[in-house]
Amino acid sequence: MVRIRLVIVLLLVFNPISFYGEKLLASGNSSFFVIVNVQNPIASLDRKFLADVFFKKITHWPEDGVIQPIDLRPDAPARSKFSEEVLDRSVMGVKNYWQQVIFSGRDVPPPELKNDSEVIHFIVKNPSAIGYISGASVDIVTPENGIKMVNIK
Amino acid sequence: MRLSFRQKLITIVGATAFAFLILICAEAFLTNRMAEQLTKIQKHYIPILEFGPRLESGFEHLRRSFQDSVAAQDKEALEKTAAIKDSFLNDLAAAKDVIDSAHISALREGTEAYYTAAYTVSHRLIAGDTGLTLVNEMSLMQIKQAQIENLLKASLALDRGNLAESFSAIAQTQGTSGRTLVFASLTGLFVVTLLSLWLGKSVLLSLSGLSNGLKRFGRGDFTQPIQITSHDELGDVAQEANQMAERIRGLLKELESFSYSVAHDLRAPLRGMMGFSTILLKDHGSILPAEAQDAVRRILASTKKMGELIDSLLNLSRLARVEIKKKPVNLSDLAQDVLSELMGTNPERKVTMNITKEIVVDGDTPLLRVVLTNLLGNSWKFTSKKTEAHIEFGMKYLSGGAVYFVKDNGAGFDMQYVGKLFGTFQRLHSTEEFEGTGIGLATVQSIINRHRGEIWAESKPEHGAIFYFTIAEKRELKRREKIYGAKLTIKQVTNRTVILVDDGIATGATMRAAIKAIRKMKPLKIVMAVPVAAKSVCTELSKLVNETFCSETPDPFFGVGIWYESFPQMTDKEVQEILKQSKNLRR
Repeated sequence: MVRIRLVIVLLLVFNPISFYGEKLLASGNSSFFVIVNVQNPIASLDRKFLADVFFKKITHWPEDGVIQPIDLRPDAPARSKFSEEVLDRSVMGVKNYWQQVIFSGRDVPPPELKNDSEVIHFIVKNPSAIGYISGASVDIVTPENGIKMVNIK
Repeated sequence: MRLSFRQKLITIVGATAFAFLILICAEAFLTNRMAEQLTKIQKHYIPILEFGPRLESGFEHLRRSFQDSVAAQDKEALEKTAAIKDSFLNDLAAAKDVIDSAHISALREGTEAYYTAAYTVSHRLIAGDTGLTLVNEMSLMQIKQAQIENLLKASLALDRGNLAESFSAIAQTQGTSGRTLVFASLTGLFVVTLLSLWLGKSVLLSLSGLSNGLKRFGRGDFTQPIQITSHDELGDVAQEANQMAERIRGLLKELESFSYSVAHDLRAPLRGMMGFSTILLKDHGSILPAEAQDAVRRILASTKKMGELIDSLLNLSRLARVEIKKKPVNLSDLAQDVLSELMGTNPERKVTMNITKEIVVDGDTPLLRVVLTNLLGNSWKFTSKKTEAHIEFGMKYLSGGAVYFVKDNGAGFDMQYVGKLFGTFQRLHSTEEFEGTGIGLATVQSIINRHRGEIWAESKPEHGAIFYFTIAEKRELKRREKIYGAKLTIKQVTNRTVILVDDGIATGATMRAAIKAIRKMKPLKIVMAVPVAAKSVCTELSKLVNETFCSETPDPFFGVGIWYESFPQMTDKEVQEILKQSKNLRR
């Protein structure tokens, strides 16, 4: 939390540009945006809630419907950023966690897609999905493209 | 039931054996049932306990080997999983006796499918070949895994219900066995006890009847046969004893009539001998030479002697036939009479006599006179050679009751020959020494026996002899009870003071009985009050009561009667009258 707040403060100081009047979490390839289908009523999410969704500890939206989390491949820079800042674990740690879960048959991990566009594509097709993309793809996030950004608290 | 002891005994032994047999059979059956349950457990559950963990850990090993190879990104390790899978399949095949074949083949197929899926997933994970389809492969693998795990669980599940049932069946059988054992033992014990009591009771009953009957026979009372109540061995004995008694009775009768007729028939020629010898001596004595006169006199004396012998023999046989008429007899007075007569025959003899006063018994006066005449006569006779003769008549209380005795300091006899003493014509002394017929004591014994009493003697040569005899009094007591109107019923004694009064106490037997009877009714206290009593008896009885009043305790005591100016025997009528008055008083 402390680190997220620090980033937010830094962003506020050095990059006053904002879309939809909301604060940016990060910018560049190493940063990420959390995105959902434009039909999703969610505007902002608790970080802990998001982490639980990606660990599949939470499987349903507060309103209704199954949450379908979408991951990026382990080598994507946004993945490591997302892991560290949202899941509070390294990519390796997350992988280890999922290996145990997979082979003990308890659950399967969120699908890992190759790149931002595949993620966007998937979310557009699945209204209940949630994913993240790298800061570089920020321009594509528009209601016209069928996706919207979610503010992380 | 008409069973002999042998049969009863066999019944008891048979019943016991039968009970044990049933018990053993029941136990064997129950033990067998327990063994069956245990075998079932051994055959079915033990292998599952063995194979279950082995197969479960085998599959776990396979699963972990995939996980480990992925974690290590190790393709070689991934290839080695095939061997682990084969080892698991081998274990599975080995469990064919424990797991049914359908489950085994399902498990085999499932394992192969799981292996393929897990291999694909692992391979793709190691290769980094992630993507949407991998998730599907994973799901497939997980489904297969779940299937195998469920199958294993189902095949190896200890059927807890069945196991519990088996154990509860064993426990139940054990309980039944224990209860059966206890119940059967108790029942058997009960039955055997009952049977034994039945046998014992019949033995004791028969024995007491037999014993009473034989005692009666022993006393010489053959009038009633032994009642035969049982049809067992003792019944046979009783029957034989009865037959014996019947024979003895017949013999006795024969003997009596024989001796009577003999004596009677012998007297006739004897009278002839006597008469003619007397005529010969009186009428023709003068012409007979002195030697012939003496011979005739000797014939006469012998004839006289023989007459006496026949007389006593006749007496003896008559005694056996005469009916006894019992009433109170003062033996002391009788003894005094007899001794006075004896004194008359030899007034020059110096004899000290000691007769206890007031000895009264129930008996036949003429017969008891015969007894005393013989006993005192013997004493008189056998003390004839003593310068200081002592003859004593008295009574003692021995354990059985009153015993009367005649004691002297005469010639006595050797106890070695005591058995011959009471035999007919048996003599321990020669006629030259002491005259006699040898029939007196036989007569005495016969009379005493007819009084249901006993006679015996003690002696030492030259130290005198004592003859003891008893007279049964039971009959008299019964007679009195009958005449005086049933038993006196004494009521309202409990917690009251009872005063027992009598005219005096000699031996204390009556008072002792009265104290005993009253004590049973639990009075508050008992006071004994008598005007005169023997000192020692009074002291002794005072220990049995709470308070004692013995006004006079003279020593020597002799008897109650001598301390009264008038001491008449009460008639039955007087007694009845007094009892009547007392009944009215009580009301």
